Amino acid sequence: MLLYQLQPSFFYTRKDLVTWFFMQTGLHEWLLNNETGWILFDVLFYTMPLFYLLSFKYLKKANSVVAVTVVIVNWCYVQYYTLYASNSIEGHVAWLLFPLIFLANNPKTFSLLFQGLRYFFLFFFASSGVWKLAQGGIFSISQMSGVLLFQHNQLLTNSPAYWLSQLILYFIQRPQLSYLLYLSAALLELFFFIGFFTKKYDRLLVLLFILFVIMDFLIMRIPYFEIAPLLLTLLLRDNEKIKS
Amino acid sequence: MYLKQLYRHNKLLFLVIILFALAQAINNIRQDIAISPIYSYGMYSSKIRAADFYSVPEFFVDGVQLQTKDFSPQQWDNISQPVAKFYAQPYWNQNVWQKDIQRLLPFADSLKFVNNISEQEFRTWYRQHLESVLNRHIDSVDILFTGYHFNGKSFSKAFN
Repeated sequence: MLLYQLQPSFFYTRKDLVTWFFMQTGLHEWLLNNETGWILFDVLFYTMPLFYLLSFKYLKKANSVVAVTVVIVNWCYVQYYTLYASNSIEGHVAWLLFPLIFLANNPKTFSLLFQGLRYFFLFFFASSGVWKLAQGGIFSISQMSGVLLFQHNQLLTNSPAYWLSQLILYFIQRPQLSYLLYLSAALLELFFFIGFFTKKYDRLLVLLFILFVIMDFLIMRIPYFEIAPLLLTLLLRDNEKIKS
Repeated sequence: MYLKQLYRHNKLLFLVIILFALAQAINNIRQDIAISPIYSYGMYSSKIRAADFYSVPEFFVDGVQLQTKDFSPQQWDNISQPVAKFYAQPYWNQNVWQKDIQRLLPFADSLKFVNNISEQEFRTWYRQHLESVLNRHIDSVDILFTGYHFNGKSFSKAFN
């Protein structure tokens, strides 16, 4: 989704100290009802990887400057984009963290940052599982029925005959069955802890992530694709062989 | 071990990553104000029970109700989120400003954290926004918040 598609006319202040500094600049207000501003931000954000690639291939001297620019552009874009009527900033965390690895000035630092990002990705999922334990959702048999009703009350009331509405209603009416979905998701998330101890199951974690994202999209209608760049940290493994 | 490698290679980077991990842990325990990019990932982790009443926003374009099934999740978010956020923002933004921002950033300017858009302005903007989403001319848009009862099996409209 582009800023140009959101067409923001107001903002929703979130509880985030860093965001408040971004808001203090007033850029989020400048973007309200500002078609030129949206196009400028969208073009900058989506062309930054190309600039980095070009500098990496043809102008290595400019690499550091371009890398810092990518970080600044990404941070500004995500901070402001998620202040409007879009999805949460948590789902966009990959766009904030991933560009940081390109700040590395040698292959070893790059490799270590890349591995650090892998640990963050593991934490991202595993902590979601811990939250379900800590907040008690996992101990409530009727949890998923409640979640489905909360998430889909618009779909269920305005499109009751639709096949997905029927399927969701089927799960809502059977709390034990729908709880199995919730429990499976929580166990899947907790399984990511294994990655902190071994890389042997990284391919399996990739498959579990893909399964999770597809199910989240189909059953919850939540597009979690923005986190996908972090998958690379599980797929590319030979970087740690680089010696300083 | 990763941390040992990191320490040997670059002590400053080691410190930054340790601080990031610590801040992440503390933020998760305190469950307080976020400090980007440190967040908690606990969506739908607290207990949620089926309620017997839901107030559901409904969108009518030229007299015809929009149906979620006709749109992708992203498109539907682009239709429903502006309405949900617009009606929630006056209280929410004011509350965040008074309780947190004023306390932690005493130099901050309140006008940058609270909107000044009126409901009339929002409705005009929303009609134009829907024209862009639906890619057609629109004469009228109505937004209703309709009450529904859920009896454990199905929804039924609540009548006052």
